[in-house]
Amino acid sequence: MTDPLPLERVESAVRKLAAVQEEVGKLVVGQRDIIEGTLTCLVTGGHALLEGVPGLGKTVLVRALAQAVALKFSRIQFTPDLVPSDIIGTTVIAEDERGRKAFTFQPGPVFSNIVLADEVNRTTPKTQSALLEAMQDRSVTVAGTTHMLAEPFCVLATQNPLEMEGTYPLPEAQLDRFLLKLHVTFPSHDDLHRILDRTTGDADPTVRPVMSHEELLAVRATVREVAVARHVQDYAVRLLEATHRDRPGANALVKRYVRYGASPRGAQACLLAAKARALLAGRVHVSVADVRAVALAALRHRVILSFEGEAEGITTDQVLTETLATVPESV
Amino acid sequence: MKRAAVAMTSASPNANLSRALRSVTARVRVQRAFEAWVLLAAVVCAALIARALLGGANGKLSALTWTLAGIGPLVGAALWALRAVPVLPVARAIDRAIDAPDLISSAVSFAALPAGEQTPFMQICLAQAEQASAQLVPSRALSLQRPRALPALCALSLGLIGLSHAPSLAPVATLAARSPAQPALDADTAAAFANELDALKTQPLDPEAAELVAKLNALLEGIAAGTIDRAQALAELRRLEEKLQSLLASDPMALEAALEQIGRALAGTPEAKPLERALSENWPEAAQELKRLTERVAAGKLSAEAEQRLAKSLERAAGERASAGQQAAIDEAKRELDRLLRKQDEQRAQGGQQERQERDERLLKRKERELDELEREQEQAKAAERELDRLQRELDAASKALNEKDKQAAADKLQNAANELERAARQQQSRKQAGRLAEQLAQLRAEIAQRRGEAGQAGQSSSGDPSDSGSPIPLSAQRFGRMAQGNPSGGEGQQGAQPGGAGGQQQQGAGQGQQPGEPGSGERLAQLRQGGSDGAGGQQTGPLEQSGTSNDQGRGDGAGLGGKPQSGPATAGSGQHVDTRIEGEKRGGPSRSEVIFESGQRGFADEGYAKVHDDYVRHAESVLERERIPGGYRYYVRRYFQLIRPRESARDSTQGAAP
Repeated sequence: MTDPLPLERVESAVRKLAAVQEEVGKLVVGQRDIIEGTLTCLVTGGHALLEGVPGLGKTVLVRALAQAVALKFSRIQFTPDLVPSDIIGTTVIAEDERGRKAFTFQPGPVFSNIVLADEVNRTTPKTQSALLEAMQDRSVTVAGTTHMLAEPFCVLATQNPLEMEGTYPLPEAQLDRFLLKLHVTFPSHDDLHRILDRTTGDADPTVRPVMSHEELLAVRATVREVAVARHVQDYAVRLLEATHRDRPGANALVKRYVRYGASPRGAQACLLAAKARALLAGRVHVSVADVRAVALAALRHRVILSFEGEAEGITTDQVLTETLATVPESV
Repeated sequence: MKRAAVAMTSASPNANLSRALRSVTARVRVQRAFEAWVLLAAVVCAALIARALLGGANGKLSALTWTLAGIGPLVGAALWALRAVPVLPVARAIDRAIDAPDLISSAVSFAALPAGEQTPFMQICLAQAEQASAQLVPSRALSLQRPRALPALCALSLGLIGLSHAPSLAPVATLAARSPAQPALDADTAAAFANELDALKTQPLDPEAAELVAKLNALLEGIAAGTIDRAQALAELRRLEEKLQSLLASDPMALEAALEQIGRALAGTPEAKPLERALSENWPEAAQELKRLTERVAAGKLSAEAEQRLAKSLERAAGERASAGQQAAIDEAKRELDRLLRKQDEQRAQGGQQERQERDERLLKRKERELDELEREQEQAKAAERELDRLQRELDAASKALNEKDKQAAADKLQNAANELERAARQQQSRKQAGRLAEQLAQLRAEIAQRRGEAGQAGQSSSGDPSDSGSPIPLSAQRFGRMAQGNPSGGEGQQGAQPGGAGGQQQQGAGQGQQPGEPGSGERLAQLRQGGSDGAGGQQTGPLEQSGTSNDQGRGDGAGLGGKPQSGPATAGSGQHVDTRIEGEKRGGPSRSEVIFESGQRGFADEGYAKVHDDYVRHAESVLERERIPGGYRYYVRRYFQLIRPRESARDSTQGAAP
């Protein structure tokens, strides 16, 4: 009855993903959710926005991930004086062997498989939009010529939630392009010990590439094959609807503090991330628990609070936590 | 999901999954049935307890109730269990049991899809679900829980059992389904009535009254033994009351009045003086006096002159008609009525003032009522005359014999008259016993009706009862009254022993101003029911007359009862209670009807009317308390008595007269 090939693909994907997690774990202590989130974005073709104070290992994480999957990695430190061409590239006059000069396209750092956009909110909206266009279209247009980005293409952007002076917060439309928004939390006491042990000794852990480019693409395909039962999908839909103040299922917090609920992209993100999570767990079907586990990361940057909510210091995490508590798993 | 269930039952590859779902579904049904049964049983228990406490069931209905109580929850539980069980919750329960998040539920969902739409991953999921469900232990998926309503059911069941075994709660006895009848009274109350009846039986009884007493006694014994239920008791009471009507055909008071008139006709004859006094006080004594007079006539001890006087007195007595004076009053009332009618017609013809016309109409109606009352009194007086007709004929014959100097014949006729007087005395005694018996019946009926919340029904059935004017007091109130007097044994108290004091008006003082007597229990009860604390004697009106100097009679300075009756323990007998005997003056005041009649003529600023009014108000209040009367009607009753209250001058003079 069972086709052995899919099952083997599933088992292979599970093994590879576990290996990647293990390799990344050599450099990054703890932060399993962040590792899983970034890996989810990688295997689903999405992008992640990592939010956390400096020094929590965001860059290390992205770099380790890129090394583990043997992908081309580039890092862009966003500053206020950064211009779009600094990211996407520009045409320059190049002289060939014969001495002839011609305009040639010099690709920017965005032409990588994994792009680390460090402190993305420190650059101007114009530069931000250049990156975000690349994220959406997976192509850049320079001097009238469209250049396709490599596959897989994954942007892992970071931003510092504390130093808001001189920053340009990403507009909601651009935030919506990120599959997940991950909160990088401060390490626990034990994790801090382990970080010190690893980084202050003579040990120099290195990350081995455990997943090839092709294998990653195969895993991507496998993720999309993960089955979703109707009642699980229905839960994701009800969860999304519950973030809208004018929809049934909206709780009191949503009705009071939410201006706009999550877009349909939020449900897509939920389900895709849930599929990846199911595959990471070795399952071929998505459970409601998977949806619940990824809901915060998938929806927190898609819910727009009202002025009253912001004035009251309400966070989208509070709203979504309440929503998760009030939406029944089955009806 | 239903499609999924169908697909799985027909598809052998999913046999384990299907079996697991069926077994858990069965457990869901069992749990549902258990929950529903417990809940329904608790509701039924609560309903039975409420019904028992409210006391709305008889034995036959109780059996039906028990049948419904037993079968209803079972049927309800079965119906509830047979409702469709959704597959998804069952599948999720299995998921939780095997710790496979949404494996079975997803498999059920995938199985619902056509085979062509099932992806390889879905098939993998189905296979995994089939494998996992093979090891399923249904009890782990859904362990039978204790119903939430079980503690409530236990508590209610215990309460129900306790109530059904509590002997003091009569209505609950029906819940045992062994007692077919609803007890009419508790044993104590029935025994108290029997004691009252025993007091009646100690006196010589007329055969008919004795028979009624025996029947009432048997009824009380049946009630006490629980063999007669409420409905039977009320029916038997009605039968007894109907029989009593024949005994109470004529008014004993009218008979007394007629005899008193005969006695007055004998006035002025020294030989008949003792007879005259006895006729107004004690009829057996009067018969003895008449016999003594007969002996003197037969022995020739009377002088010729005395014989002549006696003959004339006897002739006057024989011709005395009690209704004659009333006929004059009736004629006068009719004339007054005609005059008013003519006046009203003239006013209408002249188009007089509407206010004046209305006033005249009111006056006209009042006159009509008075005329009816007078005619009724005349009828009673005529009935009394008929009973005394033989006596008067014998007196007439004796008079003629004396005139003819035939002493022996006169003595024979006088002897016959004495015998007739004895017979009348016995009949009068019998009527009074019947009156007391009627009171007993009315009290018993009121007690039964009050206990079953059917006071209204009892009130309707007693509206035409001649004994009802005596305002039967619930026995519990009577017992309380006796306890308050320091006499919890329930005796009769020091009721006036005279004929005029014993019968009839139980709310009024039993003693009569014109006769020496002590305040009776009825008077004290009247005070208790009013919650009065002043100990005022109230109205000591007798059956015929009201003494103008009788206000002080029956006055006690003890007790000082306050608040509502039946609301506290018996007052200790340590009060400074002093019984006072005061001789009332005979025929010192107008009769009650005269008082009212005169008040209607001259206005309500009359001392006598004030006393009568208080009496009426008390009676009305007691009826309002006892009977089920709509609130709106209560207002009109009270308002009526407010409007006819005596003027302050009369009240002040009345109160001022009391020390």
